[in-house]
Amino acid sequence: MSFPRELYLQAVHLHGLYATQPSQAHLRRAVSACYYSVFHLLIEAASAKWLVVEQRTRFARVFEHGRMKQAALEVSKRLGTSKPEDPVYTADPDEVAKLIGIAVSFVELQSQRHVADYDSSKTWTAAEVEDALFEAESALQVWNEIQHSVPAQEFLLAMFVRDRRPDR
Amino acid sequence: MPTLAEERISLEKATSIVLNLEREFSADVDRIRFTLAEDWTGDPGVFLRVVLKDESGKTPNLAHVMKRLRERIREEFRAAELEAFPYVNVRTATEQSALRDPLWD
Repeated sequence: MSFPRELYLQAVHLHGLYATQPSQAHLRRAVSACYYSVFHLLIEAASAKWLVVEQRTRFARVFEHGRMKQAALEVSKRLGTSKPEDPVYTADPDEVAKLIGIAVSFVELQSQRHVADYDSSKTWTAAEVEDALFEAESALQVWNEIQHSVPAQEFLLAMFVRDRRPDR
Repeated sequence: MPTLAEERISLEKATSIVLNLEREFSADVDRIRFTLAEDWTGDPGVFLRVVLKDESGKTPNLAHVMKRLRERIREEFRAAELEAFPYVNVRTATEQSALRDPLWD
């Protein structure tokens, strides 16, 4: 089983535990695991392109949460307003919509994970965590469908290359 | 003194969108509250708090309702050219009744 899937199932387990052992710790860790399942999914996909297998773990360390968030926002915006000279212009609209969905889920989950890990004033509920589980599960599932598409590759590229074209 | 988010986001536009969505989703949504604020990276965001009716908050209804609601929120933000990301949080009416969090009332 892949590490992203293991993290997702850990989140499901913690959410399930809350029903019999109500603990904010279970819910907070579940939210965090939801985010990290998508985070590692994307990093694994990008790192898999590095030719030397033994170097992929080191390569994976170049990715940063903040840069990945900006990439998600930039790509979502570009895909929605692409121009003829853009490689994504002729992309399948269904794949574009799916990629935007993943990017949006990533940004939302990242924000929730930040609160879950650092803001002790917030009380989490089972419904909020179920919502996060759905976001993560959808991202994992949809990524499998579109991972080799042009929009998905644009997203991976944007995670570590900032687009410097003047009209962007 | 207004925050960066309050300076960049039209409160009027955001309020209008939220009220319209409350009406559109009235079968599933009890109410939507929101706050303009910076997210953890300092970018402007609209933080929406959705209170679902209990039946709509059950599995698998919650996932279906939230998927549709998120899509509509994004469409409305895009149409209004709101330069802010909509962050959506959700609770059921029963959960909120127990917590009595004034931000969600």
